[in-house]
Amino acid sequence: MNPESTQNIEHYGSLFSASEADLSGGASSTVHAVRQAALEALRREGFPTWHDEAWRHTNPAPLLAELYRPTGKISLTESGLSDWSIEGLGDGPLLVFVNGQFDEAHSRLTDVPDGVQIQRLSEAIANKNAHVAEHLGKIAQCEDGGFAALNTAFVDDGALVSLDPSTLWDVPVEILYITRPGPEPTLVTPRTLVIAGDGSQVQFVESFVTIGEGDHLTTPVTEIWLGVGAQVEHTRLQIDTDQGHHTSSLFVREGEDARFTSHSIGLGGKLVRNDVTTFLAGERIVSTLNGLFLSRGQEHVDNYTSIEHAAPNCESHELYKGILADKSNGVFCGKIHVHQIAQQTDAYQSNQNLLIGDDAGIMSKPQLEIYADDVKCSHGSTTGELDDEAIFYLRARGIGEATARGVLTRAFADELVDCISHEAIRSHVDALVTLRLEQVLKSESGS
Amino acid sequence: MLKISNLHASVEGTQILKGISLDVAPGEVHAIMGPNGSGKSTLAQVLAGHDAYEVNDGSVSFLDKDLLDMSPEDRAREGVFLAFQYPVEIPGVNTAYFLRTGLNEILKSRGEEEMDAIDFLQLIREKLKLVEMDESFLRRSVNEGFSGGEKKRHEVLQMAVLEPRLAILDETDSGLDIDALKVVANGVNELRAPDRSTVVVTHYQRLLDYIVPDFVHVLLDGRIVRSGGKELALKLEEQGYDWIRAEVAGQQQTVGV
Repeated sequence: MNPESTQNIEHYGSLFSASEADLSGGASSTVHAVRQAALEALRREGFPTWHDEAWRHTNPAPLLAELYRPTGKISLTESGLSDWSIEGLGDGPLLVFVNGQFDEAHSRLTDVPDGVQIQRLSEAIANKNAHVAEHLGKIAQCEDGGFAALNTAFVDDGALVSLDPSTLWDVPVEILYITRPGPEPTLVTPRTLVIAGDGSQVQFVESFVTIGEGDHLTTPVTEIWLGVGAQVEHTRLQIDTDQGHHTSSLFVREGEDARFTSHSIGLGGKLVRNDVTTFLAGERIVSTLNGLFLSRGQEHVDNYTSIEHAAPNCESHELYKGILADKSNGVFCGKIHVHQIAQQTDAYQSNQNLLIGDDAGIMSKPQLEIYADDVKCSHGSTTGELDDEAIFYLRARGIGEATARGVLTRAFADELVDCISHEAIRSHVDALVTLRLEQVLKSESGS
Repeated sequence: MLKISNLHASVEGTQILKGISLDVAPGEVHAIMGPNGSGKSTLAQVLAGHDAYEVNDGSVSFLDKDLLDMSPEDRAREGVFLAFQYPVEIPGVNTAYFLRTGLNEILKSRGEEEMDAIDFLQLIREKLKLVEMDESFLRRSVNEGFSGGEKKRHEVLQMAVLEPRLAILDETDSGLDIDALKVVANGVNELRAPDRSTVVVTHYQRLLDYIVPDFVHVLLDGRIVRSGGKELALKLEEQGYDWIRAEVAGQQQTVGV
C-alpha cells in the first residue's frame, strides 16, 4: 500500500474512533457492524491508485492529497438555496442536507400516500427500520475498499425512500445534498437508500451542489433496490466548483421485470468520478443509464459504468455524452458483463463526445465481456467537433457564427436532457445546462 | 444588383472558376447551365461564402457592396439566399426555432423589430401553403428524415420566410420527380418580384420550363462560354453540351490559345 493511502487510512481510522459513538444507532446497532466491515475493507484494500485498471485514466492521488474531515452542523442562511430546489414538482417531499446534516428549516416533509415512507436515514437507523437492516451497505460493494467503503464507514444521516409493494407514486421525491466547504479540507458523505417494493413506482432527484469556496471531497453513495416489476426513474444532478472533488457511487439491484432509468448530469468540478454499478438479477428487465457532462478549464470527469446481465431476456441502454472545452479531459468506461445464462440479452451502448476545446480530450473505452452466445450487444463511440456543414447552413441563413455553434452545441446536449420524463425536472435541468453551457462556451472564446 | 467580375476560385489547390463575369439586374432570372464538373455549384457556394473555396482573383459586388469581404451571415443579412443542392440534416435543432432565429437575425441587422413565437407562427402558416408543406414539419429537426422533395421544398420555404434580394438555387431540381418539381418551381415563381433576382443553377433544361429565365449562360470548365435567351436552354436539351464544346475548342484554335 502506498504512503498516501496508508496516511489516509490512519486518518480516517482515527476519525472513526473519535466519532463512532456519535453516529446514528450507536455502537451496538446492526448498522454499526456494516460501518466496521467497511472500515475493515478500507484498511485491508486501501484507496485506489492509478495502477488499478479501473483508475487507469484518472489518477486518484489528488483525492488523497489532503486529509479531509467532516464539519459538523452548519446552518445555511443563503437565500440562494432556493435556486437549487426544483419548481413545479408538486407536493412532494424535499430533504435538504448540509455537509451531511439534515437541514430542517429548508426541508419539506409533506404528507405522503399510504405505502410510501420518506425518512431521514438517522431516524430509520434509530428505529431499527427493516429496510435498513436488510439492504443498507448490502447493495453497495465495499469489499474492495475505496471511496464507497469510506462513505459506508461513516454512515450517519441521509435519505431513505421506500415503497410498499404495488404502491405507485408519480410525485418526485427531491433530495438536496449541499456541500459547504469549511476553512479546513472538508469531507461530505451523502447517503441515499431507495427500496422499491414489488410492482411499485417512484421517481426521485438527487442534487449534489457545492456552495462556497474551499477544498472539499464529496463522496456520495446511493443504493437502489428494485423488486419484481418495480419502476424507478432517478435523476442525479452534480454541480461543483473548480476546487471540487466528487467521487460518487451508485449501486442498483434490479429484480425481474423491473424498469430502471438513471440520468446523470455533471456540471462542474475539478476532479469528478462517478461509478455506476447495476446488477440485473431477473428476467425481462429494462435498464437505462444516461449521462451528460459539460467540462471546461482543466477539469477531469470520469464516468465508470458497469452493467451486469445475470439473467436472460433483459435489455440495457446506455447513452453518455460529454461536451469538453478548453483543456478539460473526460473518461468513459462502459463495462457490460453478460453472464453465460443471460441469453437473448439486448445491450446497447453509445458514448458521444463533443470537443469544443483544441486541447480537450476524451478516453472512451467500452468493455464488453460476453459469455452467452445468443445476444445482441452493440456499442459505439464518436468523438469530434461540430459539423462544419451544419455551421455553414445556419450562417447562410443569417445566424452569426458564435450563435450557430451555440445552437448546435445545445442540440447535442438536448438529446440527453430530453430523456428526462418529468417535465419540471427536465425544465430545471435544462435551465442549469443552459447556464453551464454559457460558462463553458464563454471560457472557450477566451472572454 | 449583382456584378461578378473575372471571378477565379479554387478548392484544395484545384482551380475551378477561371474568370466568371456576370451582371444580374433586379427582377431578372438568370439560368446557369453546364455539364458536371463545370463549376456551377462552386459558383453558388462561393457567392454564399463557403470557406472551403479560395477566391484567387476577381470581384463580386452586391447592391454596390463588396460581397467577398462579407461573412456568410452578413451576406444572408444583406439579402443573399442560397438554396442548397444537398441541404444538411441537423438533428436536435428544431425547424421552427431555426427559421425564427435566422429571420430575427436578419431583421435585427436591418434595425427592424424581431418576431416573437406567436407572430412567427402566423407568418410561417402563410408561407407553408406556398410549398404545400404542413405544420408538422416545424416540429421536426432541420431536414432530419426529410425526403429529397421535402428538403427542396423546405429550402423554398426558407426563401419565402427570409425574403432575400438575390436567390441562388443550386440544382434545386436534382433528385425531384415532376410533381415535386412543379411545387418547388411554383414557390419560386410566386416569390418573383421587381426587386428580387434569381440565379438558377441547373444541369437540365426541365426546370426552366417552369422557372422561365430571362438569360441563360453556359458554364464550361470554369468559364461562361455562351449566353443567350431561353432558346439556348432548349438547344442544349436537344443537342447536349458537345456542340458548345466544339465551338469553344474551335474558337480557341482560331485564336491560337
